[in-house]
Formats: sequence, structure tokens, C-alpha cells
Amino acid sequence: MRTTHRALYRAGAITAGLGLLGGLTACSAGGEQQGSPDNPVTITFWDNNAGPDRTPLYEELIAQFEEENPSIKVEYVGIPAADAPQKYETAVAGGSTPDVGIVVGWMVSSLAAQGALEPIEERLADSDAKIAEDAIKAAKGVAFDGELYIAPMTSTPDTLWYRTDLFEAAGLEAPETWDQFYEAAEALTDPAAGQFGFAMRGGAGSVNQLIPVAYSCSGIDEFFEDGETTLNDPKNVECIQRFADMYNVNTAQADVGYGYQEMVTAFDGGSAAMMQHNLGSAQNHIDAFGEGVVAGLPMPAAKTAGERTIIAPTPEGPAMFTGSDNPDAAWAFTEFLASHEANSTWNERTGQTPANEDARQDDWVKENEALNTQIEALSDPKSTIVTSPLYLPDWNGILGEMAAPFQSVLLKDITAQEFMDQWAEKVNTAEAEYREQFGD
Amino acid sequence: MTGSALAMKPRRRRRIPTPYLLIAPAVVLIATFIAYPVGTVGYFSLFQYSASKPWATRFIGLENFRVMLFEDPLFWRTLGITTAWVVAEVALQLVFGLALALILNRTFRNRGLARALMFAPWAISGVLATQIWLLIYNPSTGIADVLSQLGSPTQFAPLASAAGAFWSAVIAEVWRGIPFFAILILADMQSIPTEMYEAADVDGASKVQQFFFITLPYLRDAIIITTLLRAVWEFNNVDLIYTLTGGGPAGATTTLPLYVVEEAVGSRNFGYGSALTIAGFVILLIFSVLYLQLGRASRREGKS
Repeated sequence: MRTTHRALYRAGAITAGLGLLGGLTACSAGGEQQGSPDNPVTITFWDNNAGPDRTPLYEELIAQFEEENPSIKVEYVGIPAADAPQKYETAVAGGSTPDVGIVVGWMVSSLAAQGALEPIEERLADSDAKIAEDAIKAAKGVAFDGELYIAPMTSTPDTLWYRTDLFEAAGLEAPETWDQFYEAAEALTDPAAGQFGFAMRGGAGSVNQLIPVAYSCSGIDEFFEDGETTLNDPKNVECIQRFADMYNVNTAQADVGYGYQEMVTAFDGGSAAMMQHNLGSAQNHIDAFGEGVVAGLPMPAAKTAGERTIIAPTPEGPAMFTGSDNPDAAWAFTEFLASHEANSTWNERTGQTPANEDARQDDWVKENEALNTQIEALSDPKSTIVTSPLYLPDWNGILGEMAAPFQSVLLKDITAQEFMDQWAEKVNTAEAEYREQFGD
Repeated sequence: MTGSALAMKPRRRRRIPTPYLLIAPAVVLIATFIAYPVGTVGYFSLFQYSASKPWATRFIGLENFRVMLFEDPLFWRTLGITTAWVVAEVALQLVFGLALALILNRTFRNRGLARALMFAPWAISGVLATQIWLLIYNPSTGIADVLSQLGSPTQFAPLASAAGAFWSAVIAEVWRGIPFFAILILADMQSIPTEMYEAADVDGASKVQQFFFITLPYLRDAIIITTLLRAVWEFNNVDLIYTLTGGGPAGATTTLPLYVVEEAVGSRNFGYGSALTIAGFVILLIFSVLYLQLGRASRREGKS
């Protein structure tokens, strides 16, 4: 018996030894490298919203960065927006994260809680990039522990885009209130002509957009009241029911499956008169219709025009990943994206609010009407700002889990009441767990 | 034992390592790529383990399974959808595959070309097949558009309703799966001795009788193994459904594996996702054993 074992061990040892050898040769390539212009270090950069709009923009910025920093090469990896959350989460699980990646506010908490993101407050304090105080505050507010994990580049307020030409032709007023919105949606629908009042996001990413719908329409001014969410408050429920009832009446039947791309295609293809998104799609509308045809407003007011309830815009920006072999090079690129010039270029091209203090003073900001309307609305004393709990590590998961139930509401299998109750229960559980873990 | 073992020691020592060494690569591969991952999934299924909340990870025994069986309506719903999906897919693919094999087994002009064409859907990847079918189902480019140009008054989107999406996915997958049955059945058909049919002709058996008393009994083994394989594959099908409907609308096409994807990949609930995977594994294991037993029993019956 002993000999058998020994033989087995020997066989095992040989195999293991061979395996180790392979492992050792692979390891010897690791470790931090210092780049030089002749032998630059390469860092990987993930764009969370790749496509014909953003990809060329980043390629341009990267070229500029590489010229200023010849010892660093940036490898661009573009990820379509709909896949970004899963790509990041999978990369964390598999240990294959990029060095730098653009992370949207609602993903920060989940990634940071897994230890995937590097806190950057100290590095930013030593940097020349002046990021506006409110942007820093918003960026900290999305992390589970209140640390700064992203260098905010922008924040994206919810926007109701509408076709001014169609509104004028039909003699309709701009959708400043929810009643005006529904009136316009009804008036601009003509199913026989394939023309609908609204393009609804019923598929991927739908639930995130329901929060501004609910609160701007109900006027409820707190997300939590005594530790319980106001999501399923009767007023919110009524607003969501009315919104969902529009489906297949003032929207096309296919809307139930629309993600971002399909929704924008429907709107920019001319078959829908209104669309809810954020400032991020501004350039698409200009490309499709030219300047001045499509206008963007903050979400409609509950009752009186101008008295709005606004969900605090979600910050977005580059984060450094802890798995990086070259944190200094990764920071150099992160800092570059946060700098005045790069931040200004990026926001001017995407039509969004710069987070960089100096970029906000640039001339183009004053000329961008949709952007200015948003900035004014956010600072208007008549506006109420509601903050959604982006700091919950479960938040992103809950939004994903509620997507199928929302489709059930659209297909009239369940009511908005059941949907909002389910959603609220998940949020309350997550909030209670969070408070237990981290205190109030 | 010690005495004789010691006496034989010199000879054994030389001989024993060789067979173990020879099977070592296979053992190592199986252990690394099958036993270890399956074991890990089994291990995680006993934990509350959500990657987004590392502080909440803890051992909870069989709690995940209790929740799954008694408190999670989605588990039973997705299992029901999976069953409907597997039955519809295997039955339709078998019937059409068999019919296609019968046609291609005859001699006609350009038979080689026809066989090659028939094989084409099988050679297309799931994601690519989805792209083709997405265009067909798209209300503004596909069949809905063709119908409206022919004067159909209503616009319709096949993927927008629960039943519509399910059957749209079934049709797309049937299209892709028919060649698998056709090819394997055709191969088996060609091994049937032609004398059987000649003898049957002499005895005055009709074509239908020949099909049921000669062709089908000869094909029994091929049919049993193809349907079993296909049932397991369709049970685990993710690529086509995921890319075509994403499990929607409203979860109408969310099969058990897609539910696992949602839980584990989407919500980062690795613990519960693992428990769901174990459930699927056990179901398939029991099904396969029973199905093969059934096949063996029917073969004995056929021989007696």
C-alpha cells in the first residue's frame, strides 16, 4: 500500500512541478514598470459608453495625452453602455479590471465595496485640476463609505427631449408640466402613420429613468422618510401608473423592449415626438435634425410650470482600479481627463455639464441652451432637489431586478402599485442592511 | 497482506507508476476543469454571498435551497418556462429533422447542394442567428413590415408580447436546431440495409408501414441519444434567448439558466445563483438517468 501512495505522490509531484514552472515564467513579467519614451508603459482604459459619439472623442483625447506623456501608452477599450455594468462586475470577479475606466455614479458603490476602486482624494488634492465643490460632493455621495472614487467629469441631469417643429405645427406648448406632457403625447400620436407622442424605454435601463418620472410628477421631496422609502407613496404610484398607461397607446408596441439605443433611434428616426433621457444624447439629436429642432427641458413640473422636483444629477468620471500595475500612469490619465482643457472638450462635444471649475467658465457653456436650462433649473430656488440612494451597494442590482416587473406593468400583468411595492421593499431591505453595517 | 506484498515489491515498484502517470493528465484536467468548478458552485450554494456586499458573506447551510423551493415563485416560473421551452424545441426539431432526413435520403438532382444548404443554420453561431431573427422580427424591417405593405392594418411587434416573444424564440431556435437532428438521423438511415425495404416491398408493405416497422425501429438509438443531448442543450440554452429577448418581456422568456445569469452576473448574488445552478444540475442528472433507463428498457422490449 505504501508503495502505491509513494508512486502516486511522485506522479503528482511531477505534474505539479511542471505546472509550477509554467506559472513561474508567467510571473516574472509582473511588477511595476517605469515607462520611458522609447519603452512606454501601457495602461488600459475602458469607455463605458462606446459608440460613434464617444469613441472618436476619446481617441482624440488619448492621442493628445500620449503626445504630452510620451512614456505612457493608453489602450482604448470601448464597451457599449448597455453592457458596461456587467463588464465591470465580471472583470472584478475575474480580476481583469482595466487601469482606468469611466464609471457612472450608480455603479461606484458596488465596485468600491468589492475593493475594486482606488480612493483618489489625496491625489486630486495635489493636482492642478480644479473640480467644482458640488461635483466632488456628489461624487462622494455615491460611494458606500463617502470616499471619493471617481474624478467627476460631468453629471447628467434627466432631460425631456422634444421636437419643437412638431409642437409648433400642432400648436402645443412646451411640456413644462406633466399635464402638458400627456396632452402633447396624445395630440402627436397617429398610429396609422407610425407616429407616436413618446419613445419609452421599456427594456434595459428603464427603471433608473422611472425615479425622475415619479418624483417630478408627485412632487414628493424626500427619498426616505424615517428609514422607509417614499417610492410606493400613493402619489408616486399614481404617477407611474399614468406613465405606464401611455405604453402602446401613445408609444409604439415595440417600446417594451427598448434600451437606450432603440429609444434614441426611434426618436431621432422621427417616429416619436418626445423622449426622456439625459443631456448625454444631445449631439445625436443635432446630428439627426440639425440645430434648433430638438429642445431639452428638465423633467416636467408636478403642477405649476417652473416649480420642479429634480433628482440630483448622477456624477460620472474616470476611476482608478486597484488591480492596476501602473497606478502612477493610471493617475496621470485620470488627472488629464479631469483637467480644464480635456474636460471642456469632452463636455462641449457631448453637450453636458463640466465638473471642472474652469471649464464651466468657457464660452461654449453659455451658448448651449439645453445645458443652461438645466443649470438654471438646478440652481433655481423654486426647485426641490431629491437625492436617490446611489450609495447603496445593492442599488444597481435592484434597478436591474425591477426591469422585468416594469415590463409586466407595461403589459398590464401587474399594477404600478404591486410594482412600486416590490421595488420599495427591496430598497427598504437594502437601506436597513446598509444602516446596520455603516450606521446612519 | 504484508508478507505477500513485500515479496512482490520489486516487480510492483517498477510497474505501478506507469498507468497512473498515463492517466494523470486526464485526471488533472478533469479535476481542474470539471470537479473543481462544480465543487466550488456546490460550496458557494451554501453561502449568503453577494459580491457587492463582501461584509455580509456568511455560511447559511441549506437556506438558499429552502428559499428557492418554498419562497421563490420565480424559480418555479422559470423552471416551467424551461420545461415548455425544452419540450417545444426537442419535439419540433425532431419532427422537422426527421422529415428533412427522409427527404434528403431520396435521390434527386443537386442532392449534395441541398444537404450542404440544410446544414447552414447549424454552422451559424447563436448570436449571429439572433441578429438575423432580430431583423425578421423588427417591426420596421421584418415580417411585420412586409405584412403591412401587403395591406395588413395593424402594426405588430412579435417580441413585444409574452406569448409572441416565447414562440418567436422557439421558431428561431428550431430553425437552428433542425440540421442537428437531420444530419444524425440521415447518417443512421443510410446504415439501414436496403434489402429490408426490398423484402418489405415483396411482402406488399406500404411506404407508411415501411417507415413505422423498418425505418423507425432502426433509428431508435439515434433518436434516443439525439433527443437526450438536445434536451440537455436546450435546457442550458442561453446564447439565443439572451441575445434575442434578454429573458423579456416581463420575464416571459426567462428560463432557469437565464435566471441564474440575472442573479449571479446581474445582481452579483453568487450564493443564490450557485444554488439555482445546483438545482438545474440535479434536474438534468435525474432526467438523463431516467431517460437512458427508459431507452434501455424499450430496446430490451424491442428485441424480445
